[in-house]
Amino acid sequence: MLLSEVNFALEKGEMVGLQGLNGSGKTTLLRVMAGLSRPTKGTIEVLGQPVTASVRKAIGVVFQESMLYGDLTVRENLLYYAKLYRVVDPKDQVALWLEKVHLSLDADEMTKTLSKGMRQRVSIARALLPKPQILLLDEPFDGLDARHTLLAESWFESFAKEGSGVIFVSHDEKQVMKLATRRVTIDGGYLLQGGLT
Amino acid sequence: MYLRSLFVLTSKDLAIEFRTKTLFVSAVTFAGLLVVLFGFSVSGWSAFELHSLPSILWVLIFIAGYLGLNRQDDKERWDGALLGALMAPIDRSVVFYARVLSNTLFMVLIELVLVPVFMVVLRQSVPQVPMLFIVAMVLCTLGFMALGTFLTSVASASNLREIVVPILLFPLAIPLFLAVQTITQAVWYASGLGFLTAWWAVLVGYAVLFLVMPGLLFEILVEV
Repeated sequence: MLLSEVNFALEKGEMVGLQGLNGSGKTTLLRVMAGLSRPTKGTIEVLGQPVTASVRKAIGVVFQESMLYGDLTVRENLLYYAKLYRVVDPKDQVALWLEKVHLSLDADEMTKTLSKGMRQRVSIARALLPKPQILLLDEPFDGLDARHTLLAESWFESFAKEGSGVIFVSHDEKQVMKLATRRVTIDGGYLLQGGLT
Repeated sequence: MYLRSLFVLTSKDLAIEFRTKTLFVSAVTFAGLLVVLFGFSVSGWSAFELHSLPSILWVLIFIAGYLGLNRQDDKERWDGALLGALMAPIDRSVVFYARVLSNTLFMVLIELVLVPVFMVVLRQSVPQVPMLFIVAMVLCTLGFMALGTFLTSVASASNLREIVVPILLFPLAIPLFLAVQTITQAVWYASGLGFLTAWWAVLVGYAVLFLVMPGLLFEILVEV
């Protein structure tokens, strides 16, 4: 069993920094919360209910995989997700996010030709496009340059300020200290609640 | 809403395939080369022996179909693309049905090229009951693709999927193969058409079983 006795509540506007050693179960916890993995025991409730299709609409994820199709362009990938999430005015919203992540000029490039950092920016745009209420971020700054790291930090912070709950995994202690309103550590499969930062 | 999501997912698959043509080109080339090889091996066969060849067609189609399933699965697994669809606020069975639909469409397109090549290279006449042949072809393709899509989706997370999928797929497809090759043989030469009821039932039953059952189980099986 990778994780046990995990009791964890995320409040609105909170930005929780999830920490732990490699293999401690951080990614597993986020995947369970996102409804991609099923807990062997216990329940996961998001917005007071089990993770069903309607609840998934409120969850945005940036995981280590970009979740993009290599043979679609950047714009096509974002439009595909905008349609799946039933975003209003999908074309305008996609154009807006392409602008925000500084990829307007690369919008018609095949996603498989992008660098890791560029793909990560598209992945962040994909996650934020439907305006989720909960953001689950597993090393979201991985591959980003300093400029875009700062930019991504500001988007996540503004999402939290607008009332979304954010959980992010980062191995950068300084970044966690800077961004997190609460730190939580996983050790040996157990969740150790941290204090305010 | 269900149909709209189905449309979005299927259009994405079609857009990718029409752009890259990797599935179509690789499956048609591979199956076409097999037809040519068969052509060499049957050059001395009598007309009576050549009568058994239409059932060989299905060996080629099943192999091409398996190749196509693998190609599709590669695209879905690239950088976790499938996870994105599973995270979307849609009934997860749509993800399964969209894959079956696009895989079936691609496979029917491949068959439309393969069957005439097969007839020319192996000196086969046109099926004498073409409508029934087309119905059998579509039903068999649907059943095979539903079964194959289900197995590739379930085994997607496994490191041994390239071994596990064919080991499960081909034995499970034996009843489907027996049904379609018997029907093909009968409709190709318009003989014994009155004795096919049980085989038609197998063909329809397979398509229904592997369309309904995975649709119900998909949500549970993709959560690992």
